[in-house]
Amino acid sequence: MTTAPDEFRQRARRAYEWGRLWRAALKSWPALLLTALSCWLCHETGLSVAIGAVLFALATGLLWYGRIGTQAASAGLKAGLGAFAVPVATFHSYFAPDCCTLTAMLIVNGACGLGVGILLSFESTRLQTERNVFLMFASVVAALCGMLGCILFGPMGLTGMAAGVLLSTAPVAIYRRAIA
Amino acid sequence: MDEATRNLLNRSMAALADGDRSAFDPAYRTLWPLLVRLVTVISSDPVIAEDIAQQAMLKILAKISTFDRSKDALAWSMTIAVNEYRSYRRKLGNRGAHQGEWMVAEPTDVDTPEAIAIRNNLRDAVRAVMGQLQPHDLEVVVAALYDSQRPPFAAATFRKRLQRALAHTRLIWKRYYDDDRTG
Repeated sequence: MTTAPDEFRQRARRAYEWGRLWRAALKSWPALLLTALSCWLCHETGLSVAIGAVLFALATGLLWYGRIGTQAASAGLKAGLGAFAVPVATFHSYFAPDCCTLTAMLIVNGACGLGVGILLSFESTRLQTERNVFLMFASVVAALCGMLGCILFGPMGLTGMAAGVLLSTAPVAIYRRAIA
Repeated sequence: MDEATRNLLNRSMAALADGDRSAFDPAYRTLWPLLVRLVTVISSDPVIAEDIAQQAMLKILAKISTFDRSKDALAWSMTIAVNEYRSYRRKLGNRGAHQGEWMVAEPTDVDTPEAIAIRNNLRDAVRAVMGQLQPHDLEVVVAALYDSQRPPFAAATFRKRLQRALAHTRLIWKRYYDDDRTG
């Protein structure tokens, strides 16, 4: 049925936003995959679902917003896959049965977070504008992915990952801001 | 369509695909008349064309995140519009086929008590549905049914309003009687 031009323009705008949101939700599938893996591996369903839900909502929101948000979410999810895989592979590996000490856990999680942060800082230098916005959102997405893999180690594991990412990205952002 | 407009459309669609909302108006303004013109040409019915163009426009905008910037925005949009027109034709064909089956099942003898009862029931049902219509819809339907004096609209406006009124009638009918082919 035909509608008035203004009314149709609004419908078209709504169709655009809903279309974007739907595609964004589809593109955020790694968040769901990591949450499912985290539930399976870490046996902390409540915490995994809570972190996974935040990660999914954040990634969907960024991808829906577009522009720098899309770039940040994509880079964050890619780096986050690594941040998830490294601690999980290390602590679930049959080759490392004696590594589950507090020190080893902090070193692995922290180093993984640092590595991801450095990677994203390097990635942000390729951008012309809004580098710090990119770095901030990509880091949060990657840190949440990594945290899904660290749930097994409790609050210390989560803190190690978050601290690693923060320590490697915050100085870059602060330095950029200072010289701008 | 000149090269400058085509480039503008390409730029606007690419920006819209990236999430730049400020490109919505230029893309909409450029694309809408083109869609209506294309569908009018292929359907040769301006009223239907506008409906299909609207559906196509909604589909294009919903799918724009998947638009490949290396491709031509006009060709991409027109492909969706043509597909939308094909879907419409297919639906129309299916509806025609179903209606044909229903027509065969109609009683042919109009003087039997059963046929009279059906006719009376139908008349009552139609009256009940017509009673639910908005006054402006009713005015247009009555004018079209009885060839009485038409409201003071242009022919195209009258056609559009009639189409809208019939759609409303169909909705009310479905609300009361579920499917309009089961009577």
